[in-house]
Amino acid sequence: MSDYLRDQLSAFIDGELPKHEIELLFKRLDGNPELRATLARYTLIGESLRTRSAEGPSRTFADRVRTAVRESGPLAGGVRPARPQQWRWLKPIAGVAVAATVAAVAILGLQSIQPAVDQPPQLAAEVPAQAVVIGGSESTVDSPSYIVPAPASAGSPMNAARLTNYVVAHSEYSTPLGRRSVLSGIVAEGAATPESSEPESSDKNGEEEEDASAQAPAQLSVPQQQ
Amino acid sequence: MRERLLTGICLVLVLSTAGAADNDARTWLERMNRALATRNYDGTFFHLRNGKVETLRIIHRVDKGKVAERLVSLDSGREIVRNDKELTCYLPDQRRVLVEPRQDEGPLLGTLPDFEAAVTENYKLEKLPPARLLNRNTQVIAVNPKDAYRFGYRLWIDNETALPLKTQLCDEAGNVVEQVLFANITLPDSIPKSAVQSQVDVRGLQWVKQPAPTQASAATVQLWRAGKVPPGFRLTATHTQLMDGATSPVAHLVYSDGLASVSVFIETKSPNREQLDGLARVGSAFAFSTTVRGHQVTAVGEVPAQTVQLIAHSTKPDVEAAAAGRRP
Repeated sequence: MSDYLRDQLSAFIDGELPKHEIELLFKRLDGNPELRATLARYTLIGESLRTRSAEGPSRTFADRVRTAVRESGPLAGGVRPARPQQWRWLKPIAGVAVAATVAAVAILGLQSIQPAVDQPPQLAAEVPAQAVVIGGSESTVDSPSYIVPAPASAGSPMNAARLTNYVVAHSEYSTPLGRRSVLSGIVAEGAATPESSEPESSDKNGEEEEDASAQAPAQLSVPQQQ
Repeated sequence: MRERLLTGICLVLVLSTAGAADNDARTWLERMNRALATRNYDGTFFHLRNGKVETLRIIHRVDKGKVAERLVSLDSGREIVRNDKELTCYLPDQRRVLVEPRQDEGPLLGTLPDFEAAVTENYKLEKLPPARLLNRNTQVIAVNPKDAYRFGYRLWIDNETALPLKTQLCDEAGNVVEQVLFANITLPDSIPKSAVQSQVDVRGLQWVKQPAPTQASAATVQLWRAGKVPPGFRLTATHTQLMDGATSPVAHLVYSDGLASVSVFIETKSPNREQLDGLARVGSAFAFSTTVRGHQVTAVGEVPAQTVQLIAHSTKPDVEAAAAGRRP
């Protein structure tokens, strides 16, 4: 990226870019993912340097960041897709089609390990569900009551809830940084982000990813691991 | 002869310099871990991932050796509160509150990773040139994974407080996959207890409490193991627990390389329990679920997708271990 473009971005962030040049910059941003990513990154860094500890981040700033990120697509904020070859094994082979924008848990094929002939040892005898539901609108934490949770049907929001349960249980065994990352993910994004919408899972560049969401459902599968 | 001697001296100097830099980076990481666990802080940060930005606030309180922490999304209203007894996840959008009992006393301080030799076998520690951030001087430390089975970090650590003001989660190629950037942070001498209590209106929310996990009996978790794990990962914890909606106790295995960790949950499949298959993501954590011999096996961790997939696919009943009655 040229120094001229960097100066343009810097001036834009500082509110010093003339209107006609802003329009020109936006045209450049439209066709330049790297420039969009840089803008989002500069915006964050610039604002952080200006923010004072006694004040929270202004909503105006949050809106600006979102706008910058929205404008910049999947490469915003310095977040770049992982190296394509790392994800190559996620490419389609012969899997089950799922709607990319709908799946709560992406189905990446159903190639489970072949069942063994011998009977596997059981974890334990089946027992009634043991979760403690401490109450709802009528009860309080001080008066827990044990109930058997209703079975969840496939594709219900319980998928996300179950995943959240797993992640929360796992977080207790993470390092401080890992835990913060995991818990921030729950708080910020919620569980079960559709994996098929993950740009890192594709070899395509940013523009093609945006188009991909409008195309036919993704067909993904997982190669057999040995 | 003289050339060889000079070459040797140069090699020793290079190696010793690299070693010193490595040790320096490790010292900063250890300082950071201590600061994260032992200091009072209240900060607002941006969480960037996959083109999305969320504004979060973290309040970390240490009082008489007890730690409490509150993580709040200023956008979604979700909150997570951790203290020495439990972790409570307030999900008003899902109309529920999830309570996870904590295992034992003090693990908030006790689960600090050590940056010992075992870690450096799988990560390269590097001290980068210092930088200014938030108008403060920072040390920039890179923790680079040596393979694609784990993520690395780049950390901007405040010179004075050792708190990370900016954190990037990176893949093995150095590409940033998640970024945390503090917009402000304060370090009060004390933080009131009320600051680490949830402000979520819980009226009408369903409270779901996971029963406390029990120490795994040999008859339970000894029967299941991951047959293949990435280099450096070892089994660090096993127990069983009862989870919301599960019809039988869930075995929970934890594998760690000292920095990254992966949990494997194994439960007997039930027709009344929804099926989980494939890959999902929660923030930087990946989860992969599959069916193994009538059991639902789900691997979860703050690692790349292929790591949870490898571990989940390789998890199976360890018949030999069960027959021999041996421990891992």
